[in-house]
Amino acid sequence: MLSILIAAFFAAAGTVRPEPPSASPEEAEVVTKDELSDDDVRDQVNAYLGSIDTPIRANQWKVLGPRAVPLLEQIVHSDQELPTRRAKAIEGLAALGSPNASTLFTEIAAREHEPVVVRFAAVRGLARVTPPRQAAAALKPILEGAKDSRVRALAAEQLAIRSRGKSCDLVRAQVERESEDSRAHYHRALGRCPKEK
Amino acid sequence: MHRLLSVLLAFVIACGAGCGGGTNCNNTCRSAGATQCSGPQVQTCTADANGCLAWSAAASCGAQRFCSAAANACVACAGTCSSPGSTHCSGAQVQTCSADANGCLSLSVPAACPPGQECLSGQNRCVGPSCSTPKVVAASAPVGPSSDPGTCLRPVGQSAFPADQVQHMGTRTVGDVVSFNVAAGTGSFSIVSQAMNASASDVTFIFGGQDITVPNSVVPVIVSQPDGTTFYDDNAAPPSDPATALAAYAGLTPSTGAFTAPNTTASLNAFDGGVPAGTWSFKVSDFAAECASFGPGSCRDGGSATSTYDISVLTVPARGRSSGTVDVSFYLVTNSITAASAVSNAGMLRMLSTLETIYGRAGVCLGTVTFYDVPAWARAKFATGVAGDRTGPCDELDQMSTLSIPSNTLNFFFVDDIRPSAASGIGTVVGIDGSIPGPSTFGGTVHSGAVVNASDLGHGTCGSSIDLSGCGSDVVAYITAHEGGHWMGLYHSTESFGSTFDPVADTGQCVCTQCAPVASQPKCAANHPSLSPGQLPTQVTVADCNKGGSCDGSQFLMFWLFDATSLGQFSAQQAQIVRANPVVH
Repeated sequence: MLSILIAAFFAAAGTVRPEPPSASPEEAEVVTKDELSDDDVRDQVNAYLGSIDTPIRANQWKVLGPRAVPLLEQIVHSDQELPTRRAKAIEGLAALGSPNASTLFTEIAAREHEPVVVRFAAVRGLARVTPPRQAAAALKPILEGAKDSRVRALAAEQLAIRSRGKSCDLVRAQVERESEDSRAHYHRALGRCPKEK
Repeated sequence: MHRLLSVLLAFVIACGAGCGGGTNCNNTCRSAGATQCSGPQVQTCTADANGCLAWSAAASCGAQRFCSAAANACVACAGTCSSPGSTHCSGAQVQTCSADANGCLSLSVPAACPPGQECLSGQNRCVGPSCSTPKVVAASAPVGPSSDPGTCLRPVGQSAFPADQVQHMGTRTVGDVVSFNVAAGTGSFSIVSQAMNASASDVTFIFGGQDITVPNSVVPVIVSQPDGTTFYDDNAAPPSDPATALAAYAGLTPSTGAFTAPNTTASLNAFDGGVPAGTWSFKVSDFAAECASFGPGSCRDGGSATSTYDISVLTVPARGRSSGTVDVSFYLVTNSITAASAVSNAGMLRMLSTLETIYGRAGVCLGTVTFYDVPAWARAKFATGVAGDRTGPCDELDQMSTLSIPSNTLNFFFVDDIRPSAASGIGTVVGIDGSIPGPSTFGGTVHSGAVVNASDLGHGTCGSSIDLSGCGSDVVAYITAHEGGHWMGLYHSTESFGSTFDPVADTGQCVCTQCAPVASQPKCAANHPSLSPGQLPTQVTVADCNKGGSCDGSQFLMFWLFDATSLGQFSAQQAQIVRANPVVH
């Protein structure tokens, strides 16, 4: 048990590890590692994309600074890259908040041929980089237009989260339009919405 | 006069070759003791009985010495090996110790092993798989309930082990002391605890002045050997070098947990001749019970001393061999592929081939591989619904594991996505093992499997060798093998901060303060850096940890991350731990 408590400060092995107690919310300002060389940044990007069961935090991406953005964009755009690697790169771009991120994520989320893991990352990334007030405008086209019901349901969930429940009328309306089978994907989205009276 | 001049001239010429000996000498060298090379051998200028100088017959310079043309003298070989014909691994390639033209022994340029073979670092030689082709089958019907149970299931499974290897202790309450027998010739044992009526609440300890909340993990405390000595004490501070501990139990195992030994270098050495025979004992416990026993000064919340667990002890005979077989089950929680198509899907078969290659490095072959479909409700719920950070027994990850059927197999759940943490700012993962180790031989429990994001399957291009940069099926195999490594008891060889390491001595260590880029070393965890809010200490990478010495370990499968250069190896001791797990037969 002592080993668990000690590990809780850093990281337990293998399974997803407990949060270090001192960790603060993602939005905390972080200092970019200007002291890192370009090669160091490239190595770090490559390392984070190769993480297996240790999640990479938004702040870890942020610390790499804007020099990581073109590296990640290149990976996201490349059809030679594997889907999970592209999804992780999208996650990194979302954390870094690159200027092109919103447009890029919107495009990818709309592409029906993209692997679902990539589209999911794009939908989450779009929700992350979009201010809450604009979340409905950004996510509604995906909610209503994506052919894959899982992507629509994720857009619904992200919409409910980002709007803090204020766009739940859109979510419920979409659920009404779904088939019985597809509605099974919406339980998380509806769980983010206040129950109807 | 002319004759005199001729004699004098001859003398001068002779002196030019070496002014020794009598006037009748035809010296071939100048001074006694001088040396010259004849190929790798040496000749020495020596005087005969008349004092005439001549080169000796060429002779050897001696063991691991040769005659250097540059120095015209014997010098020591700059050899890199000592035994002709011996081999050494350089990554997956092999170097052979052989003599060069000078007779000096050195390692050859790394070369590929013969087809079908790989260089095993634990054995420093090329080893070919002696495995027969695995039997790959598809189950005929989906597994699991036909509809969503809608409630949290915490099944108590029965071991699929032979009855003579299972000691079922029944339901025990935390605090109970349980004894079990270990017969002579036993190689390993596992204590498997499954919650019957255990507190599902998290437990909050006060540690180091801070509140730390963890799931209520089950753990046997004070495991005692037949001679009464303590084998494991969950409340003792672990040694600074975990490899010196007799047992490591560092995972979080709420509801269901397995304690398997040996799993450290110290216990591998101590059990070299088998687990000590006789009566062992341990106290049933969990974190809630430990918290309750500490009192309010150390227990903030969640303390309870009433939980009950179903206890079984498994014993595995000492195999005394360097290979074994593992049966594998893949539960296809995905809309991308069905069990019926998986058995002939090129991407899936490539994945299996690579998985077998990787596990072959530990001496483990794949036996029967079975693909299972799951019902539509389970695909809808879990295919993109498992959250990486929600590992409680009622969360999706653990509930998905209950779909596995009772059997002694290594269980993998292939999904389409693993959700990032609900807490914003924490990213996703591509694999999760429910517990380290898994409850081998117990199917259908909340920890009876590992989950893998299989999205890369069939993507990219695959060549003749394993390619972790371009072959998606190889990447899925690598992640699968890694999570299966956790299941079979292996921890990360080096954790991300380069300050904590596995309990195995031969996996190398990658110490952040020595291996990270110089500019990043001040922020290594060991330096207790002052960090901005939310910032984490420096993390070590594959490139940081492939240099040997104290910057080693990224060549192993259980390194915390991978890249295109990863080799996916097992150390000799890791392989021993894997082969000792009950899932390997």
